Amino acid sequence: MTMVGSRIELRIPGNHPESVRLLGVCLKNLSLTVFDPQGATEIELAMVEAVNNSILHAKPGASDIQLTFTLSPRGVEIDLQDEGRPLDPGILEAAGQRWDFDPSDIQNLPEGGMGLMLIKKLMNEVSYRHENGRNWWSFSKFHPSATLTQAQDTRTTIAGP
Amino acid sequence: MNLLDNTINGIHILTIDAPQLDYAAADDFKLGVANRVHQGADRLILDMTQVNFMDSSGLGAVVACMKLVGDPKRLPLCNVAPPVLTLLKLTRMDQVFLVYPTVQAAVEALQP
Repeated sequence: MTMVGSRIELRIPGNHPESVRLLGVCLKNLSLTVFDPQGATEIELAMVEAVNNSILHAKPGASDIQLTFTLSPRGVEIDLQDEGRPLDPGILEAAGQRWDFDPSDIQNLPEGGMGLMLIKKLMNEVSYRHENGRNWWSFSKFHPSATLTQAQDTRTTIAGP
Repeated sequence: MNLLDNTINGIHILTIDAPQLDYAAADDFKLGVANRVHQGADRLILDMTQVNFMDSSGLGAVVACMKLVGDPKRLPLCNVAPPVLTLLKLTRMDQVFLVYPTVQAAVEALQP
């Protein structure tokens, strides 16, 4: 872990899912310096989902997942890099759009496909690109006191290689 | 992932003995519940008193267990912490699971 001013850099081993829990607790507590417990919990869940996603798509022998957490006047900004398989460029845009199920149809309830949808619901901005063999994610969550134009809804940005 | 067993009025109370149900614990949890069901537990209550964090993998595991028992009345949840309840609401799974404030409330609701 490296700490510079209001920025903290973390490296997470991609083959050790148990360490993600520790990361979640760490990010939640950092977020509590800016957000209330509900906001900090939302950041915790979103980032656990993001790192889980990186672990799921990791290639054998890939280097550590790198995460940069930055406290800013408007909230938090988190950048995530990994060497995993590239995602379908449309996956982020599509996430959550087809999240529909009949709650009474127990046998057809979805067991997966929730991660990206949750991230989009919990963060104000999400962007993804695949470049130089790496996946680059950026997430922002605005403090409620940030201007309305920043915090109106989740904006997603997807860039190709 | 350790699961603690208790029985009240023929209902199997399963307590998750861990502070989180996440990607790392999901498979163990599913296996543990499946073992109880295969051994004859047909009415269960999932006591989540100790769980203060659940991610989508953990929720997926609970959904898989629901499919195994086939009926929300046979796998209600109780003592659900606010962050877990938030996850249920965000995914609309709060419309699937019966949630009770205590084990006793769940037991009373399950009485014929």
